[in-house]
Amino acid sequence: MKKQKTIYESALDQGISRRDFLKMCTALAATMGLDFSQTDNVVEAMETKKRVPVLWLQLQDCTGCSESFIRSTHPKIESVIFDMISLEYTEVLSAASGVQVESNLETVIKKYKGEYILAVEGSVPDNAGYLMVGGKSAKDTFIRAAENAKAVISYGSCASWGGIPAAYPNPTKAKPITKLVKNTPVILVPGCPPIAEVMTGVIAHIITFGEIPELDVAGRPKAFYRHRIHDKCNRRAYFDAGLFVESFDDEGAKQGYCLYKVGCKGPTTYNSCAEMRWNGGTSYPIQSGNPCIGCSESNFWDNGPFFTRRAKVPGTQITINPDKVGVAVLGATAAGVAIHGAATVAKKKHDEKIRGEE
Amino acid sequence: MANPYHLDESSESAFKNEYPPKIEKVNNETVKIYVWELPVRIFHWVNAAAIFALMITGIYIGNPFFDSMIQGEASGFIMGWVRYIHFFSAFIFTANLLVRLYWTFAGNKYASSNLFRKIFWKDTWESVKFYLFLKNKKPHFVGHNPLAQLSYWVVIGVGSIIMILTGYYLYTEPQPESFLGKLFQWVPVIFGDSFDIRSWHHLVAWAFMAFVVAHIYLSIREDYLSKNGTMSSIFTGYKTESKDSIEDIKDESMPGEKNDKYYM
Amino acid sequence: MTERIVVDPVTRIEGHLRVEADIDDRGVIKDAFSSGTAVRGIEVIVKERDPRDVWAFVQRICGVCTSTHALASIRSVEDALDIKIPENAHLIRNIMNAAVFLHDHVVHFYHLHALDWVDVVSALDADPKETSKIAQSISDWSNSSPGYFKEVQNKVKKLVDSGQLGIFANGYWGHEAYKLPAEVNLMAVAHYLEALDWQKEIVKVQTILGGKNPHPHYVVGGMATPLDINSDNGIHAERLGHISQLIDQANTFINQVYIPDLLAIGSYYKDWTYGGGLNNYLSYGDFAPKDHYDIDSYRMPRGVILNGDLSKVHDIDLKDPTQVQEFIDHSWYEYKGKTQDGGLHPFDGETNLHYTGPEAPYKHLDTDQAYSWIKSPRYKGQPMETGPLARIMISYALGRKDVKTLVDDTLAKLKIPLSALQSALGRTIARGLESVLIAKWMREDMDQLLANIKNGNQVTFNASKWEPETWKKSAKGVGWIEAPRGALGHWIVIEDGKTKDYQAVVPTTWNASPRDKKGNIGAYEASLKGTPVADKKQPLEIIRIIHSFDPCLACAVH
Ligand code: HEM
Ligand code: HEM
Ligand code: NFV
Ligand code: SF4
Ligand code: SF4
Ligand code: F3S
Ligand SMILES: [Mg+2]
Repeated sequence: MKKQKTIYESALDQGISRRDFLKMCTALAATMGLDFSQTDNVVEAMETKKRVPVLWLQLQDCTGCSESFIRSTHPKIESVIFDMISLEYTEVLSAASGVQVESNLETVIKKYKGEYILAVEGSVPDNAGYLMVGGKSAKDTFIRAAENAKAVISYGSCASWGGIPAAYPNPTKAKPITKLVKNTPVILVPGCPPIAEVMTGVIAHIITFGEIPELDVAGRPKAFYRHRIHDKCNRRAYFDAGLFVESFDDEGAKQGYCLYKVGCKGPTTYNSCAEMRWNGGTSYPIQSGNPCIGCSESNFWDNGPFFTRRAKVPGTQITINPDKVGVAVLGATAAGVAIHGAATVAKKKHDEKIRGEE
Repeated sequence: MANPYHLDESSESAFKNEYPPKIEKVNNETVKIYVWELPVRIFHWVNAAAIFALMITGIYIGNPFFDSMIQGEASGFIMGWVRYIHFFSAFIFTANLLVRLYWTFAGNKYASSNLFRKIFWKDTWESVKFYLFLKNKKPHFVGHNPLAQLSYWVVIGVGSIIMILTGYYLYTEPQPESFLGKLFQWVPVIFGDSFDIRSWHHLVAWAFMAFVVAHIYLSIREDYLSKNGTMSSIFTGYKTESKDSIEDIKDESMPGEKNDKYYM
Repeated sequence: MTERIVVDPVTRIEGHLRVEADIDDRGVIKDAFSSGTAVRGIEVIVKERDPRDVWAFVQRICGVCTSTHALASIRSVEDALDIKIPENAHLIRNIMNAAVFLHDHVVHFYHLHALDWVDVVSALDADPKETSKIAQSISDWSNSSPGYFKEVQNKVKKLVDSGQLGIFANGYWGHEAYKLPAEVNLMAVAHYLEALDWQKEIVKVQTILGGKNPHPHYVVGGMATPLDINSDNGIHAERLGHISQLIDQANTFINQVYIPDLLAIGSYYKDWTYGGGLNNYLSYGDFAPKDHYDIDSYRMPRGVILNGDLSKVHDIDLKDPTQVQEFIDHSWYEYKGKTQDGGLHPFDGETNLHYTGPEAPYKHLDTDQAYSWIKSPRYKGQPMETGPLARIMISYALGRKDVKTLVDDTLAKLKIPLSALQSALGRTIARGLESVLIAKWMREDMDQLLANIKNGNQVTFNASKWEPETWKKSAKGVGWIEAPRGALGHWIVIEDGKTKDYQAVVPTTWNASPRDKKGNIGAYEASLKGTPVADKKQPLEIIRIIHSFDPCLACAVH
């Protein structure tokens, strides 16, 4: 990656003179409640080093993604937000509210055009009335922030796929953010929420290697989404052995058999849960006896029920029991065959009789 | 009689350069026609066997019905074996289809069919009327009737393609970076995410089942009505047909030659 | 002449909240309006779903009080289908709920609320030695050396010197409403960072028992997590030991860090008595030691207090159609095609989105009309405050000994009367005090769980009504729970094995509700009235009061 410009350098780029720059620093020191003697420090800092500015927008979300983010163990969240990045706007943690926090947003968009990272949590509704922030359409704010960002990180299944707001019947016509970004690279980090260390891991990758991580066809970082849960599951041996939990808390459940028959979606779910586990490697749903509901997959809300294996009717948000439907189709075919066969025989007999009479 | 030089008028055939089938005279009324050449018959039974194996193992994979409360260590390998058989059958199934695809071009006229001609759809409609008992006599076809052809196209043709694409995608999911994995990486573009792909695979599997039931019935029925040895044909290759019914064959196949030759 | 000022977005909360306030010439708030400006329609989304799946959907109402909605949901289904869960499952759920409470309260205090009382930048001026002295005088917490505080101060300095204040950028630093000495500010900043570290630990209780956090897994009928001390897969000694340790650490952190900080900070602000509000308090009650349906056994009791009258605690029946009702006169919804109507009990509730607010961008809401995505829940027509303060007041009024001792002690330490609790600060104190109790109950429940296991009871799930074939053709149920922010109810109507109707009436729906037809205003709006605002451009007082409720807008609207 090309060397990050310092604030001073970008100020010069924008035609601001050193004199104006110093003035700006003084003003900044003042707003920060510092006395003027500290201005020099501010100037020095801004001339020399810089953390990547990050804006974090919350759209139609539940803040579960933000909450997961602050659970990060390695890197520790403290070092992420104070050493790696400069989180300039977040509805959860920003000290400033109202116009003050809105102005942070505007400042970053203007001053760090093309340099800041935009993190987004939540989906975007069709109608501005369903989501306003600061009296403005959050969708418009998002589009503007995305256009001017260096990259967009789409945190969570809501931002990445539409998530719960977009589940049938999608009352607000919610869309994933990808539908609204044109020229800025988007990194999808799905999950409901994503694993904390996956979230900060993506940032650590960008900061450490100076580039966005390699993505798969769907736009997810391969480092965290290359395999299915099923490929790395601690219960996999029991799947292969044909040993399954039939009901929660049965003997098989206590033994740790495979959860496939109680609906586990691990075989169709791309996520790092089995590999990295949750909350500093403590456990993950399957380890704790719960079938995976596929929370990092697109449309997983409409791939239920969660405790049974079903098949999706292509092109719909509906699932069916494929074997039940299959047996029904087969039954109908067999019945049709029986009736048709009987009719064939009857007709042939009839025809022969007529021929015989001729 | 239709213009003997215009193959287009028979829906049984697709390509100009097919060679004619062998025909043997049985008596003055009937002839024996070599409809299903050996590769077709081998294909047919390998295909049938593979599909039965895939179906049974596939259903188990989708819903492992053995009572798993048989206590055991993870050292058992039931699902593992079932999947092995599924995959083994799948490779045979695929290879077999490829051979059949080749034979579509290399084999006799009954080895191919062409949906992109008007006559095909006309004949199909006539056949539908017949099966709905709207017509007493269906247009006679020595090979498959167009309705059968259509079902082969839809289920064996398109159906197999769906099963293969979705099946190999699922198969390579653990190794997305392998050669096969890369080969099938685009499958989600058409079939959706992993869950959707599995769903397609499972639903189309049942379409195969339904096809088999109808297919076997129609074969038996054809045999019963035409008394032409349809059933045995898929074993021996020969069908018994009345002399008249092959008029078109000889016309199409050997334009300009004397018909009598075939009766020797 | 009044001037209307706007705070939007209110940050350091969950979700999208807008506050408009009319301020008179003397700078006092005359009237206030709270608006939820985002909606998803989750009650509509769960319709027709398998009732056994609904917990996962409604859990996504909120990722902050994650798992409270899941628990309310499975309780509603179990109520409808008359499913009795094993005692162990109940205890595990209590322990998981307690973990959310403690996480939520601590994060609220340090990361969401503290900056309304603590001036981060002022910490630069502190003498770390003094801070150390203060810290050691109020607590045994080990991180209290001058060197330690010096290090924290250096961190702040580095941050400020970098010119990139990040989350602290553009705060109201230096505002006259900040009263703490620099040394106490430094201590609070140090604990801001420690709490950030601690909060990721306590949630591991949920990870062990529910697989992850946020959004752990649940099942109708008990818990899927198997207890088996002799199986490598079960919850065995190592896992139990891990949970125990986390519980003990939580008790320590709360008693040695949270509470001393709360009292230290509180003592500087005890004269700032604004933010009381309605004085109507509501709690459904929770934390039964054994059986959720044994309401008398609740350690967090049920009841209603009206007009601050502690001499009478009224009863609640969640199924009585005349008690809990939701109104939409000032909300962007329709009931049966009409934008105004009487209230509906949640069993008959409707969620039909109908936005009639201004087009973006707008300066002000038309507060005479509908102005929020939040509905207006009322108890027998009355607006209610719910949450820590309500629970503490109700327990106190009922004469619960543990609460009375704790409250009286605290009042004595701060030298304030009971009535002083009816304020923003009081709400914040109540939250801390109940954390002490919950951490204690968490330990008790864990001990009970261990005792059960010791006695050979490792059952966690009741499978008898798992299959829909065993269900009544139609059934109705309500699941209630005390969530960190207050009384939460989920009402479900099940028909033919499917969810026919679903309504959630959520703590923040109560607290942040807009006015109703009769003009009764909600708790947020009431609490702002009469508060002086020093600087209309920096309305720190408004966010301080609003924050004392710990707003959760995703919850309120859903
Ligand atoms: C007519 C042909 C086939 C039939 C009837 C069939 C049937 C099935 C069925 C019913 C399933 C279970 C799906 C579920 O999870 O619900 C399945 C799974 C699968 N099939 Fe097939 N299949 C066929 C061909 C193939 C082919 C050509 C492949 C290619 C390798 C293939 C690979 C797989 C794989 C990988 C799975 C998933 C196994 C697992 O995840 O454990 N199948 N099949
Ligand atoms: C999985 C099972 C089966 C499949 C997928 C299948 C598929 C096919 C296909 C594709 C053909 C056309 C041959 C070609 O052009 O290559 C065919 C023909 C035929 N099959 Fe099958 N078959 C199956 C089972 C059976 C069985 C069990 C029987 C008899 C008991 C049978 C009897 C026949 C007959 C008689 C023909 C010739 C039909 C005609 O004249 O059109 N098939 N089958
Ligand atoms: N209000 C609310 Fe919640 C809580 N506590 C839920 O019931 O925060 Ni998200
Ligand atoms: S993806 Fe899940 S956790 Fe994240 S905002 Fe959406 S619902 Fe919440
Ligand atoms: S528990 Fe789920 S992910 Fe694990 S092996 Fe079984 S089906 Fe696969
Ligand atoms: S439910 Fe989600 S958290 Fe992991 S195990 Fe499944 S993807
Ligand atoms: Mg509701």
